[in-house]
Amino acid sequence: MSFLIILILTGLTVGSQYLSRYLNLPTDLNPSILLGLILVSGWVIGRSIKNKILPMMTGFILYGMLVGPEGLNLITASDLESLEFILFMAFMMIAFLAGGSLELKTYMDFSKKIPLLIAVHFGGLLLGTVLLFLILPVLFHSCVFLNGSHTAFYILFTTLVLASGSPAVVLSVNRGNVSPLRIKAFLLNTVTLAGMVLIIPFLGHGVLLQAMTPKGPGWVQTIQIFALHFFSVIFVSVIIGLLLRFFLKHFRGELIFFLVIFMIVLYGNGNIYMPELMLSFMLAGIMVRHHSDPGKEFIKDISRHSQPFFIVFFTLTAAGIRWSFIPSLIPIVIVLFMMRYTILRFSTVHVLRRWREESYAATPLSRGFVSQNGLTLCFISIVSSFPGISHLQELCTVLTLLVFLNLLVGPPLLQRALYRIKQFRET
Amino acid sequence: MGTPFILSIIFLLVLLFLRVFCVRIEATREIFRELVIISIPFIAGVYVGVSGLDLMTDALTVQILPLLEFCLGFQGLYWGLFFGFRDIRYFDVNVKRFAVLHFFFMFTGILAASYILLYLAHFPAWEILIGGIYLSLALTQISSASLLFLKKFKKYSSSFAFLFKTVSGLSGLFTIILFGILSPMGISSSMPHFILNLVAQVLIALITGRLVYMGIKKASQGEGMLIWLLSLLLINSGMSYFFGFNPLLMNLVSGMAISSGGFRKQQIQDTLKPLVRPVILFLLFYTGLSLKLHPWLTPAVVAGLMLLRFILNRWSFRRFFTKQILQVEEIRPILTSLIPLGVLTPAIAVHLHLISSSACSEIISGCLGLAYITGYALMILLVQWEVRR
Repeated sequence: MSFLIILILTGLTVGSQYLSRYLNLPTDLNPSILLGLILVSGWVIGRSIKNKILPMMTGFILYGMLVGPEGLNLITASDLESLEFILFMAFMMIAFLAGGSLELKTYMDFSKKIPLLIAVHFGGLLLGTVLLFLILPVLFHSCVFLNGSHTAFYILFTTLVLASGSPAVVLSVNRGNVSPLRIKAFLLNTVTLAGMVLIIPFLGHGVLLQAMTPKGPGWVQTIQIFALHFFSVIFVSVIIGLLLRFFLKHFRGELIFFLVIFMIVLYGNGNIYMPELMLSFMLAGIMVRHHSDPGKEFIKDISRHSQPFFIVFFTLTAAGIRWSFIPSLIPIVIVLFMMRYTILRFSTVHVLRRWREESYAATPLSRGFVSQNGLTLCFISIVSSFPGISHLQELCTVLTLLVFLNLLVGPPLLQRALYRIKQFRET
Repeated sequence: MGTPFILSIIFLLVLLFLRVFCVRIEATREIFRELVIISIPFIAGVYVGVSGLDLMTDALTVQILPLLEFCLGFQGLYWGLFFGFRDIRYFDVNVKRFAVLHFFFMFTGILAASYILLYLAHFPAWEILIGGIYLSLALTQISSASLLFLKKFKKYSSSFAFLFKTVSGLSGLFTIILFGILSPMGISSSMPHFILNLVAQVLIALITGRLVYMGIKKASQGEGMLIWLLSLLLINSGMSYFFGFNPLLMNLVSGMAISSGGFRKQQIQDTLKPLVRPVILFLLFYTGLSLKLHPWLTPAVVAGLMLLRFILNRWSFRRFFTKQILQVEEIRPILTSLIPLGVLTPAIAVHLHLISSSACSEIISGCLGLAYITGYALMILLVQWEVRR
């Protein structure tokens, strides 16, 4: 029935376009209509495929791929451009939610393990990438470019991209699952904290660009600019956080409005860089929640009504990914995927087994870190604009394909892991 | 940056004055809180907009368009969800008769005064016609803000509050309907086109409303309802922008179609409740963005038309309401608090700005934004005066 309604609504939209052509009105699809269709269609498809293995968000992703420019082209590239702010809003709202959902104090015992786990993940991935970048050019002719003068840069960048996860996926899958709260919080805290740490090297686009000029980096200036960007993030997040705490104290229900206004101002200003904004909103979320009962309630309220943000975010992200299949690059993507999966799995199992209380969750949870999406794509887009680095586009294409693969494979793995943990506890 | 700075100084002084000298009882404290809440987005809009930092580039305006259309449509849908076709039938005939009489009495009076004011301001004929209608529509609706005062009043009774809410709701309903009928005038080239436009928007709204009702019936959770309602709002609002329909009327009709189905009516209304305040604040923010002040028209609308509206409101309540529904003594407390404007005012101001980006429309929408805030400030003064008396 719901599918039928979607078909009728889509038919009405297409019909209205024909009618507008007949009446000599503009024929571009109105962004509001498009957004409305995305919301309802994504939700219906997500709900239809949801089961023990597949989460709702896989439906959003599949729908995005189907209707996006790389699929049926019902959502064109210009349509995606017109919804840029809405995507930005959903992205920032999820970052705010991820920050606000950090529960480090509630589960202090396992929070202490998180830095160790992040370090083990990063170390393992760095080692794996170094080994792969030595072996791959020997095995595959298409990977010769990895063995050039910029190998160190390739390794560092690839490791940073591989180490990043997706708080959005964890938040989204957590919503529909009833596995233990501790496990959910552990997973979310690890991914969010790892994301926050990994954003730091990407702070200040100008800093990174300057560091990579062929003449060699001017270190003093680089450090100065980096410090400026770092403090700007702290300043923006403290301002947003304090103002939100003030608004929360006096006018609770209106807080969401002020959040949207902050987003409009920051988006309109255009000078603040995406990773900086993301980190700022995560920190603002932490500040709103920290030592504040109304803050916790507010985060819970937003979380309860957050489904539309996830639908918009995942559908538009999936529609926006340019996943062109270049046959020669497929082996590298598969090798990188396997390497990342294996290292994340074994390092997680190794760390969690030593922590006896939750050791039963070690194996399933080790599959829960695979997902990647917006944050990682953001890192890739930053580095793809670096000047003076040869074969950078090939590497970025490989990594984008990898993110795409992880976006497809990660959520079902996480859903399955949470389901297994729940089953284990019940028996 | 002159205008935002001067405006915020004036606002601060007024708020300070009210807080120190007028906010003494719990009722006025609540109205004062309301005043502060609605002032912040308006001033924020003035700072961000053309008179301030000028952050709102054309590209950004296009980007936030879905949000704006959503907020406009929301006002209509929320109204429609409260007034299903069946609900209206159950209201008392006298209440309905009073609501109609009051609405047309107020509308005609304010329309005449608005035309005179706009004519004296040397606006072009077309701007006078459209601006006058928008001003009158925005000032006609009875605000339910008076209930903030009534709740704390010793003679307050829940039946009277319900009655007043019904009258205020019906007044809003008529405002949206008349707004929907009159607003296509701005884009219609001929009478058949005008009629076709009206019929098409009502038909499409009925169809989308019915489809979404069917979807909502299938959705077992509140989340599903939220998604269906948000989608309906966005699709209807988008279509109204696309074809030049009125987003408020279109969503009102869809809301009425959903509400008339009767399935989980209360739950559907509750789903959208958390968005009510943020939507009004966003519309006020947008009104502040394009604020333009006129040397004498702005004060004339804010002071003169508001005063006229207050007098007409009081007169109408004394003349019609007391004759048909309640005694004069019973409605006395409400008469002093009839000054705030209805919640549809920011939506009407924003719609005017959307259909015409001329300086005249910016002046009128700015006047409406200011008048909306001034209404609450004056209400505090009047309530304080009433309490003392």
